[in-house]
Amino acid sequence: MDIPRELIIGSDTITYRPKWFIPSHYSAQYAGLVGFMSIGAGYDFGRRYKPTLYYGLLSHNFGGSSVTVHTISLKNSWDLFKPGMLGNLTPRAGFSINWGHTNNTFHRLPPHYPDKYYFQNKVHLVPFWGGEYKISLNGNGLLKKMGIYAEMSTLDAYVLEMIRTKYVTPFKIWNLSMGVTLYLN
Amino acid sequence: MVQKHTYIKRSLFLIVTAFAVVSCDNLFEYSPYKAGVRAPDKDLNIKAIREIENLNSSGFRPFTIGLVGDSHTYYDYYEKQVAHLNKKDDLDFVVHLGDITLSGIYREFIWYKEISSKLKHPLITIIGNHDYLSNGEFLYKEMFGPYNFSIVHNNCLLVFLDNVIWEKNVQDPDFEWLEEVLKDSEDYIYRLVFSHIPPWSDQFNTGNEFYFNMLMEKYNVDFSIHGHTHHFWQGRPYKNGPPYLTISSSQKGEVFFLDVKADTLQVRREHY
Repeated sequence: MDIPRELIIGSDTITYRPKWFIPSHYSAQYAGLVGFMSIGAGYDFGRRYKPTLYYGLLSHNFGGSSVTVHTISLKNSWDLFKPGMLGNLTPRAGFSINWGHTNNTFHRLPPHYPDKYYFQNKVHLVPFWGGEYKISLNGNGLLKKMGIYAEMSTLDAYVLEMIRTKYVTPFKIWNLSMGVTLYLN
Repeated sequence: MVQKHTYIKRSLFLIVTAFAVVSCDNLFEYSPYKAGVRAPDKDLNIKAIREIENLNSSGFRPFTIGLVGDSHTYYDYYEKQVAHLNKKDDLDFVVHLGDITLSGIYREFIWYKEISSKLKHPLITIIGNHDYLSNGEFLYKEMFGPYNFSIVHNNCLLVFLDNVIWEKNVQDPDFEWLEEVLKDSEDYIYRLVFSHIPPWSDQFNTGNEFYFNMLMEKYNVDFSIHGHTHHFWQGRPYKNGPPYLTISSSQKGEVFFLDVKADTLQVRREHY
């Protein structure tokens, strides 16, 4: 789809990728602090870095929360090993930047508060680690591979309490998410 | 050989992952802003009040209440407070005066509930300003019950008022509800009001401060009990009106007791 093409202008040769903006992969995820379900699209930068932008929804009918939460998440994922080193399994880790929109969350405090009464609570960092099992689809069509992934993630605020208190042990802060990724040719 | 290494590494990775997964308390978390709890974590105040009713007598009987507040994320200290309260056999119940979380997010409520479940006495939890952040307002309501409520215990009226202002973006606390519940209370031995924020504190403007104390005075409230300031203080801040108490936050190493006796109300402060 985006095989580099060459363009010759005078004595210069310019190499460019047509349709560079088309994402290289699409994902659908269950849980993982991005809502009940989320969908995302992303790019492969280099061999290891894969950023993916997700939108997730949590509501009464969609995850059993009495209040609706919209989440936009930029997941920055790095493959931990060289491709193929563990066969079809790719361990990976990284962090997401989550922006949550719901009741009583804010970037800047509303004007009726004194300065610095609260820290902003709309944006959170979400560290994660996990792995993806890739299946080659061997087709010459649109799809190259399918990945099934599972990840453990946590929230910056929970990590802080794990550091600050004995009560919050490492096992109290992690949660599981699962998803499917389609890689395009 | 290479294949064998790959196999071992892959197996190790899967074992570590599987161990981490089965060890986690809440396996799936949809959002830190999630609101909604299932039984048995629902209506904990309502359940506590039912337990307290078993200790109630129609006439006056002297009794003692344990007081804690502003536990926020001072979990290690809050655990010690719970352990100290569990050493006492003579408490009718315990009141947490609000701010059970720092950011009102999901796991903070779960952690508070987990530590509190170790308390052997019934526990009434009132809402604090921090608990209103994010969707804490809704999580509180599901986990504990209504924001404002009152009970009659041993012929004393105990009023639990949500007096948070800024986080609710309202102008004043629900004074109409407070007045309604205090209106016909003159026949009780004592009238005690529990709320998170003392009226002289930041969230109350001058009018609200005056009005709060005016209601206390008008209906002969005997004691107004608060958290929020993180400091112990007891006294009469106004020329008229009742004595006030603020108790310290969990990490100050103290637990408080209110002895409700026939002739007096006495506050005791114990170090754990």
